[in-house]
Amino acid sequence: MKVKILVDREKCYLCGSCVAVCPKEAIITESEEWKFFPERCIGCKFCVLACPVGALVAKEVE
Amino acid sequence: MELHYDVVVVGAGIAGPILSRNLAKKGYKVLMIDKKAELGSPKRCGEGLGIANFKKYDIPMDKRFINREIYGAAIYSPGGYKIEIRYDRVAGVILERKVFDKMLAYYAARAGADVMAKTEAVGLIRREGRIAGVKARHEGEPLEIFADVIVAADGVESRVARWAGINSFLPPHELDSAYEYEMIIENFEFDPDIIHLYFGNEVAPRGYVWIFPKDEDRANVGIGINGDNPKTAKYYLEKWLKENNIKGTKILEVNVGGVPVGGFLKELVRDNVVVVGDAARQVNPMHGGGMAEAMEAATIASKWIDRALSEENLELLKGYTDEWWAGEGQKLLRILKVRQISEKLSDDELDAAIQVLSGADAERIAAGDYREVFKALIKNPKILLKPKMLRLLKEAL
Ligand SMILES: Cc1cc2nc3c(=O)[nH]c(=O)nc-3n(C[C@H](O)[C@H](O)[C@H](O)COP(=O)(O)OP(=O)(O)OC[C@H]3O[C@@H](n4cnc5c(N)ncnc54)[C@H](O)[C@@H]3O)c2cc1C
Ligand code: SF4
Ligand code: SF4
Repeated sequence: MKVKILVDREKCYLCGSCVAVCPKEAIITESEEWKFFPERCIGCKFCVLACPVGALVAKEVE
Repeated sequence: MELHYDVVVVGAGIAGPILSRNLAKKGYKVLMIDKKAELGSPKRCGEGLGIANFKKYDIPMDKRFINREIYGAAIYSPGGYKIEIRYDRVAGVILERKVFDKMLAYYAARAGADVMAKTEAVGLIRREGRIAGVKARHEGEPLEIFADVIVAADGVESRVARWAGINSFLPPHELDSAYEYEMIIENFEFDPDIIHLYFGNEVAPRGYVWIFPKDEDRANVGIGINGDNPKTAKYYLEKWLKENNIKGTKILEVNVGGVPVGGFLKELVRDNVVVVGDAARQVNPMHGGGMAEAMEAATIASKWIDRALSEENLELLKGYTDEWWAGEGQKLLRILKVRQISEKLSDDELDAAIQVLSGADAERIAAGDYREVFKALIKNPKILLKPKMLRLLKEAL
């Protein structure tokens, strides 16, 4: 099942925890922006687990 | 714009400035960049640092970044038992990281390094199959920084090492997910001269809640939990505050971050790319402190970069990997073993252990020197360890 990771920008502190646990470099945190690259994502949801504030959700697509 | 240096350092937290300072002092042309507009801010830290590190890493004790002197620690079990370690001299300090990081960068700059805030590394420059430098961006303007050695001191979210082909992926279990308030604490007793650590499977799964006092009534109150926990660090901190009737109505900062606690990088050097600090996952896996480890790694790495550049032999960079793994690496692996055991303790076992351990025992365990303490625990008639725990302890001996 393919997932899309959605961020709640109001909650995100750009702390980089999700970046560290992503096996595929599908997330990066730039100085002012959280970015997701769907084509690299394998749907493991490690990022969702690791976020200290719960700013991420995995939405199932197709 | 195109720039040329001997060494480019990505990240101006703790590891980056120490390494840059050491190499600038040796006369190398060093550039340190950081994506932050304001070095040190926002902080992602409890700000506790042992006093010995100032002398060891040649850092002045400047009042501008020292909030409070600390004389020891108290460790609390879920059932309310306590171990207290107290010295009659200063054991550590609670820093102001915003000022500390900036001053470390200042010391690097004063030693001769160039420093550029608000400059983000976005990729590597490759020429003829070699890594030739770092592509960066400053206020949207592209920059090409050519250098003989590239240092990844870019923290937990490190990308530089991955660009060089080093797999620095950290499984979520090897990350502590952390949440912290810098706040005023009212109606809750705590001695502001020591740090306080609260353990328990319901309190902080795998980790602990900390109070690091910055004033008599002001402290960093934070939590670290296992990064694969379905609940959030924020959830557990809010719960602990509520259960202890601590009102969260005077919050000065919210700090959020991840702490690598176990996935120490095997490969610290690839070609001319050198990885240090959180980027290399060099953190004490028992207490999650990474500043001293970052300073140590930066010190060893700068020594080998100096040798490699002065002898014009980049192969020598690997000396850093070997030296770090032979010393610090072995120590951290022992500490990791203790953590892997302690994270399996039930609340009853935690209560029992904290009742019988002395402050000196706790310090020895935290330093990875656990054999004698474990032997005594196994023999202690007051402790009823579950067969599984007994087996784990025996295996560790
Ligand atoms: C909540 C929390 C509490 C902690 N408490 C303590 C404590 O009390 N004591 C302790 O010793 N340790 C503590 N730690 C750990 C400690 O903060 C880190 O181990 C330490 O900061 C590591 O230093 P570093 O130089 O490796 O990385 P950092 O200090 O994280 O510095 C990395 C720098 O790289 C920059 N950067 C990242 N990517 C790029 C890029 N692409 N381009 C340019 N710049 C980039 C970042 O902006 C950052 O400034 C805590 C951590 C957390 C999350
Ligand atoms: S872990 Fe959460 S808060 Fe941190 S950068 Fe990722 S989404 Fe944002
Ligand atoms: S689900 Fe897995 S692969 Fe996809 S972004 Fe999250 S951590 Fe990366």
